[in-house]
Amino acid sequence: MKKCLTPNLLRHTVYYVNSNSYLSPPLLVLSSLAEGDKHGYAMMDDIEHFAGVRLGAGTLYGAITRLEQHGWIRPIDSQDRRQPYTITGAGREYLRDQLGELERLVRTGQRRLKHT
Amino acid sequence: MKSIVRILARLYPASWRARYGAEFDALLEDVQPSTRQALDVFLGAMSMQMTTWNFGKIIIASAVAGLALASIGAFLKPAEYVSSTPIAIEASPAAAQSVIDNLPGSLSREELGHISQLNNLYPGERGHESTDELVTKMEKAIVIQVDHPKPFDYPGVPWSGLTFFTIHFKYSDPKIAQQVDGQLVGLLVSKNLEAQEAAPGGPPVRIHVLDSPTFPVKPTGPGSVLLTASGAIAGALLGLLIATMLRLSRTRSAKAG
Repeated sequence: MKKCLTPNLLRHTVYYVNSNSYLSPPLLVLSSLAEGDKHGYAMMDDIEHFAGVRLGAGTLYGAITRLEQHGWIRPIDSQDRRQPYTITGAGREYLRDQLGELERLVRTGQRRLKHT
Repeated sequence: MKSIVRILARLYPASWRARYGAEFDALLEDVQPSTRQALDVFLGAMSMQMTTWNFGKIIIASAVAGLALASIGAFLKPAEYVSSTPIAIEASPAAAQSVIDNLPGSLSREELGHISQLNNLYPGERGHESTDELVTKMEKAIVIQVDHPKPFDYPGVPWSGLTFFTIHFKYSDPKIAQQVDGQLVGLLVSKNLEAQEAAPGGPPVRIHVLDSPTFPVKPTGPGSVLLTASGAIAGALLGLLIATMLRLSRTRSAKAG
């Protein structure tokens, strides 16, 4: 049976971001917001669902702070105390770049594995 | 736990709290409070504080943290006392060296186990560690050191043809350290006699115990002041490293922006 690339890519991506403490939480947050606007708690749930990692509140807001400083996410109007965020165009571009690099890494690794 | 997490959230810099405080508190209301959450909030606060601190503040804070940790370590570190017994071997240099080299192996684990039991060594560990583990711990506390004393160190001892060494035993109680050191020396002497009787044709080896085991008055190792000072210096150096890395990272971010 031919193995599908997507689950492998996701698994390798999660491994990569987990082992890279600087990149991981911001990338996870961007990946979560790429699907739609969310507030902090919804991001935590979503990230846990797709990556199997439950971010702590301190880690999540550390990532949110950095991403907002870079202009990759921004808060959106809300009447609730829970502040929702949205990914910006620059944020999508950054996420696309990062995932592209990961994809290249995964493909190279898999290609080499096939030859051994 | 919820109130602890809320208090820890106050450790974030005032400027950060002015921007994110309300929504962060709202998130903390939603999440399940736990020790992991508390630690995560604390580390997040410290990391955010670091981004607002200047070079000097980071170094001072790290030095204070190192000082505090080293003080706690110095307070918790159990004292260790070393009792020593000087010994001389009367034999050919090769035979004497062979005795010293074989010394650690000549004391069997059963014999060490017996001494350990006799003196009730390591009472705190007896409940959850096996006899074998306790004997291993005891073996690590025995140090055999070859000496090169000067003739006037032991007046009256015939000097030529002797090889000198010391048996040390390290323990948390000075009296027990002295007692066990004496028993180890006694065991060594009796084993040597047995070996001589078993092989009467072999090279003659006589063991002279030059002095009784010492009673250690002061514990070994660095004192509390030295430990605390080392902690402060190590903390300051770590702070210097962190501050430099942060400065480099900020410079890089500014260039990228």
